[in-house]
Amino acid sequence: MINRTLVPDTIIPSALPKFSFNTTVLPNGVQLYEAKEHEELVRVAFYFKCGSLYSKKKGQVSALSKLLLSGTSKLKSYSIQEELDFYGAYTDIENGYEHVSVTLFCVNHHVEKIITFMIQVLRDVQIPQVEFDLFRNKSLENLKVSQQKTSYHARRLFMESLYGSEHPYGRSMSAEDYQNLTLTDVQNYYSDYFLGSLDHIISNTPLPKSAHALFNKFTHDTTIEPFNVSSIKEGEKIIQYPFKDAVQASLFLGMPCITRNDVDYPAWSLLITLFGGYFGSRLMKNIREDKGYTYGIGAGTHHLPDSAYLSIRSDVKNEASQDCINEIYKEIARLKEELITEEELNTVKNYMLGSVQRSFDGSLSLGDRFKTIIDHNLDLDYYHHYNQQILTLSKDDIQKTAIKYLDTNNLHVISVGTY
Amino acid sequence: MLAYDTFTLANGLKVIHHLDEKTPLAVVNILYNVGARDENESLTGIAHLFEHLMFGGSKNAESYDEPLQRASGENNAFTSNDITNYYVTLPAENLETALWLESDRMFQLNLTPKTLEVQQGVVKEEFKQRYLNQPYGDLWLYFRPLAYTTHPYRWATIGKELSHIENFTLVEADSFYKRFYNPSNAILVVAGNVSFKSCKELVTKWFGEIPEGEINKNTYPQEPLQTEPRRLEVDKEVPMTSISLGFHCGARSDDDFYSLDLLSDMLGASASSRLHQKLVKEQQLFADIAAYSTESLDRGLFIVSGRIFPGIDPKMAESAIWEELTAFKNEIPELREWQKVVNKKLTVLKYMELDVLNKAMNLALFTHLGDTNKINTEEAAFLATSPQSIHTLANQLFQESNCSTLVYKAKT
Repeated sequence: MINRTLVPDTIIPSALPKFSFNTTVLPNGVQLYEAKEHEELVRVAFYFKCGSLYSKKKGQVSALSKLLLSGTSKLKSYSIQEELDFYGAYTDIENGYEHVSVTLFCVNHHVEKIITFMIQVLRDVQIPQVEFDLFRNKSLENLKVSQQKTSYHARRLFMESLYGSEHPYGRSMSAEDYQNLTLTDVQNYYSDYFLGSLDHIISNTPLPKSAHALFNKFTHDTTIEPFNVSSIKEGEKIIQYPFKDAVQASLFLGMPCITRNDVDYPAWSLLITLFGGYFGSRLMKNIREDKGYTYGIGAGTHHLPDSAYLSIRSDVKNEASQDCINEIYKEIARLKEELITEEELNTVKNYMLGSVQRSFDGSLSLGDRFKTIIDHNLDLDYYHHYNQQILTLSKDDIQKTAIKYLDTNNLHVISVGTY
Repeated sequence: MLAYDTFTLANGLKVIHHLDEKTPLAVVNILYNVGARDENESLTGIAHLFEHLMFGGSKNAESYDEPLQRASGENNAFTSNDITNYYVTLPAENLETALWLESDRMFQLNLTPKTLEVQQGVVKEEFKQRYLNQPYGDLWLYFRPLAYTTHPYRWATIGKELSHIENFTLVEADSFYKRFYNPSNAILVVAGNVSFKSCKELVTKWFGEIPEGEINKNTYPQEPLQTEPRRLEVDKEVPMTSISLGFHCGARSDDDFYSLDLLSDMLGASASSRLHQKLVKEQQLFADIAAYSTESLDRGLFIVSGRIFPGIDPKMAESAIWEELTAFKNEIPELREWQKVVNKKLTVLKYMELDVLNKAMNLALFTHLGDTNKINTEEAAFLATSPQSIHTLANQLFQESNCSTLVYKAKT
């Protein structure tokens, strides 16, 4: 028999792989970042600086990103999709506040063909009316489905409460907004903004030289500025939104918080992980593992261009929703009033360093971390420093951070359920 | 080509080792041969509930999660109708912590009234969150008992009803544990930056002394051949009517699985697939439509499911699906269409090789299916299909007498 009470020794993984990217500035000003090592599966992402912060009309950008592959002057949507499928390529188009990104996945021996085809399509988008109408009808129906979800309303009301319904961060699409959107709005956004906005390209493997010439075909218009949006206008902070026959209530709490560029960010990040950022967090232990009110509860920091917010979210047993909110307040108070134990501090530190290590594993993950660095204008050593700082944090640092930043007067509290 | 080694402990634990020197991580994946198909129809949902109980601590580890978090690890688990699978990712240097924790809960789990009571609450909330508080969330709760009359696939992993979860007792939990959670009924995969030597040494050290147990023979009441069409219509508070067709098809380990998989891709996987092109784009009957198979270990289902626009007659939409299925039966697909779906598959297979956790899970699954090396022959198996083989399969499947239809109707 072995002695099972002897806990095995462990190490803390603090070393990280170095980023190994070639940076090229193309003649048109587009920045190209290519990882140096050859990979069999290629992922290349194009970032167009024309996200919703640049648009004057609600829904323009998300419509464009959904219709980007719906037609060119020569090709119908089917031919575009069929060609990409034929070469085994997958595409992912996302619309963010800052960028619209077009990501391609394919096997390396088709990469030249796929990129050539994709660039040809992206430079010649002509959305057919029939595709636009179908998009609008689908969006209207999907909106109705979302509106039947308590979690959809909780998120919508939270963002509106935090940023105001006019701000790009706070607004959401209504059926009326979809009705007001026209094909001309979307096609014009493509010509006036998208076409000149290619900003940078990130690839997980070196790309053929012929591709560089293709990327250079895009004009790089540096005069495009974010639309002068109305400033943040906080709404009502406490909202109870009745939802007929809900068997669970969706809770969404949170407040504006510091960003990655702040010197306190590592301490904040540890504090929030301890509070609700992992399976062993205070909130999970209390609300799920002690009370059984929910399948899951989590807290996290969400990064927006030049802004960030803390969110605390859960779908809970309807009858327990007020009790759950009270417990969240209690847990915040505990973080400010009581010093955490050395043991809990070390568990969170080790867990966090493990998360960072995992988030660097493999060429695709490395590309994701590199993207974060570009997006937030961080130093290449950012994650290395972050790890070092996490390791030096003390119990006092965590309590001070809680006192400094977790002011419950700033908390927005949204609950959607049956009352 | 994925290289691996295997060995079996005296107590019957099958172990697969895969070395990946590119990653600093190690993965420990344990597949237990138990799923919802092993339940009794009066006590369903308990394989999944039991998965939750496995996190309640064991004799020498009061908590499962905390020591793992201290070892910079992350873990989770899932239960399906066929299996229960637990997985851990952590720094390779800390492998032993994962083996200590996994072996201890396989050996001597703490089953307490408090853990059971809390997890019954948690699973009830999971049931509500995923199945009841979502539009279309309970679709499969209607569909399974329609398509299956006899086989335990007729209930969902979450269980038939909340009361089964409430009624599960500690005594039943203990006998479930003793029956299924033993080394003879498990497959362990260690993958990542760990040598075979240290894998073998550490696995033997921690798992070697666990007594052997019963092997699940996986015998279930077999589903009789369906001989006539089945149909259910339910009225629900949803915006769009959903139409689902389910055809009995083969099992995951059958030879024609690869043709079946490509058939679903041709019909309804990507934007250029037939159902999407014809029924969404051209005829604009459906807002969305998909085709897929359940990839079950016993005979599964081939599903075609979509949601129609308001104002469209569900009968007309249903016939439009049948027209496409019939077209498939009548004509052998062009070579280019076959090449297209095969090429997409090859990309997916490459993608799966990137992630050490994915590799570990697949090694466990293929071992459970009876041949670990099938992980390396998948590409060849897809390439060995043909437009003809897919066409033949479509003709076997798409018969009205082999079809269950669920119309999940939007109340008007």
